[in-house]
Amino acid sequence: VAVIDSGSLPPGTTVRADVAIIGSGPAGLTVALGLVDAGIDVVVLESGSDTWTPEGHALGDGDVVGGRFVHGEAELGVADVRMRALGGSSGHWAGMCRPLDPIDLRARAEVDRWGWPIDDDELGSWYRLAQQTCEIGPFGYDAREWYAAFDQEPPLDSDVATTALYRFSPPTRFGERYRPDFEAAERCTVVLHATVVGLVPTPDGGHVERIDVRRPDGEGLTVEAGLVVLATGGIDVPRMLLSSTGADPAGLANRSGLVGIGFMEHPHVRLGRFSVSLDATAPSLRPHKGRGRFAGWSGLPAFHLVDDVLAERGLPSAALTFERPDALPDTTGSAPGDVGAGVEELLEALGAPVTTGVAILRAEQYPLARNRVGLSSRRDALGMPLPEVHWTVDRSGFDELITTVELLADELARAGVARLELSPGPAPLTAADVEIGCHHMGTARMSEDPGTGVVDRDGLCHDVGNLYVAGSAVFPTGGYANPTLTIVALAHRLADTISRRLTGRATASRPSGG
Amino acid sequence: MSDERSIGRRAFVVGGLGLVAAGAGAVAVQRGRLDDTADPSVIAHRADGLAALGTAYLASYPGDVDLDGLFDAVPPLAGATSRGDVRAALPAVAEAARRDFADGHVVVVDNWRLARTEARAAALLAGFPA
Repeated sequence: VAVIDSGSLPPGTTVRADVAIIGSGPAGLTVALGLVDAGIDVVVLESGSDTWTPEGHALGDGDVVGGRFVHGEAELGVADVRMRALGGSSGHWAGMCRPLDPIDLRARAEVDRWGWPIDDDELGSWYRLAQQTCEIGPFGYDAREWYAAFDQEPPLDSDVATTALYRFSPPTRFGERYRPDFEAAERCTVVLHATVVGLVPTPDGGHVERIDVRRPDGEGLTVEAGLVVLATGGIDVPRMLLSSTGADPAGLANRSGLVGIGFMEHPHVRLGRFSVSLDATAPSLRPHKGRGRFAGWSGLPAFHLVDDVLAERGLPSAALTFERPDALPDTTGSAPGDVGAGVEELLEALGAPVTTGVAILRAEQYPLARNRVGLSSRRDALGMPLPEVHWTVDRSGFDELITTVELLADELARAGVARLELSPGPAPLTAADVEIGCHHMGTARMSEDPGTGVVDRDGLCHDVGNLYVAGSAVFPTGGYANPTLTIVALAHRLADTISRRLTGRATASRPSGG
Repeated sequence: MSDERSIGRRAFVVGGLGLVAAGAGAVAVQRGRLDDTADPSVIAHRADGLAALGTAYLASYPGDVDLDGLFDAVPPLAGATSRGDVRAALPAVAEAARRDFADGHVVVVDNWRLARTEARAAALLAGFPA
């Protein structure tokens, strides 16, 4: 049986493998699948069960300092924004996918020295593989191709703003979907209820010597592996590194002092209503099924500023979508005599049927040193320090978001597509209204220079020769795109890197040109 | 000024009682036009979305309450003598609205981001009786 419970291992057991993967979310399982295919001995350590449990949830607790984690109607705790179970946070994933845009991977003044060390070409072919793993259908994110299947042009394509395309995973629940692959694997063991409480380094801190693991009953296990992949997400990766102080009180892989620094979310701005011309936007409202090559697969157009405008104004990447037209009390969304009803009348008078819904802006957040993941003075039931997430959107960051909204609103109106209500309530939005996307990035950032990051271009820690990091913790910048597709693309790439290191061969799934 | 336009402006002033009551109270009191916010015409105006928009616009941009100036600012509506006339002429406002957005002539009315010309058109409509 390749998926076991830690309780089936006697206390004090030492498990040995070529590669130990800590975390079984989309990153960890994708790396594991690639290594299994390459014939490498793998052990995957998952703290949670095969599904959500209150005990696993409690181990994910932590503190938010500075701002609030608000998502939709709810204020969330640190434990709520990720899932500790087989498959990780794919268990509550909405499935929204899009690759990073080339501008996200380029050096920009706004992100200073913290840009990506790899480019679009290097990542591109791995995205195609990730597309398959996430079950998104034929690869394609060109809005022009999407609209052509509807015999339309994209509704917005000017020298200021243009139309992009999100695609949707079913969503793939990685634990459920890929569990049969692991159960059939001969050289891979997935251990549930195996919480890592420390990475024990060699005295010089240059390698991980062993991994200390606890069962839920507190009994200890040990894992020894030639290579270790830390794939626990953008909050628990720094938590683990900072609390592994065997060789350095500053933590493991932290010679740069940057572990946990530059934490990034995807700020979401929930605007008020939109009124759109249906003639111009019918395939743009909420996720809908494609046609032609994309028949049977879902997509959602999004509107964003072009690269030149972003560069000229120093604005972060961001995209606006029209969603949930059915979330309002009726199809018009406006009461008689309401100003919104007047906007609808205005647009209808201009000759097109109109509908109304809710508009959402998803944005990039620049990496800032003050946003960081550190350690709380509180500890979990197994004695591990809890994470302390320092996160805010300051006035300057908020102003950038509103400038973006205004530019997009004016372009959509100029194109005859829509009018936007800038706030859902009577008062204008403030920074306190900005929501999160439950995306955690940048806390073990990738860099060419060991002085400006935690891992190198392959995900290998600059300071620790056998420790890799997988997942969005390594993102130097986050763009506006939901991160899972990029997480999975990088995980496929990491499996290939490790396979070549251990066997001299590429992974079987390595795409040509990747 | 044509006779038609004169008639239109007289009708506008009558309807304008409701307009000022609903949204531009402070300005209206200053001009001595308002004495009863419970006027049935106010309720009628509030039941009309475009009129509500126009009223809210004047509340936010009281400088535009100069009616002659409004007619001059929206040439396609110059001959309008009723709400129906304004509605019929709205398609002619579309091009001006696009230019407004391109040129940054944008207003925010109850958080809606609109072209100044279209908001002015709504204000003119609000001035005619329902």
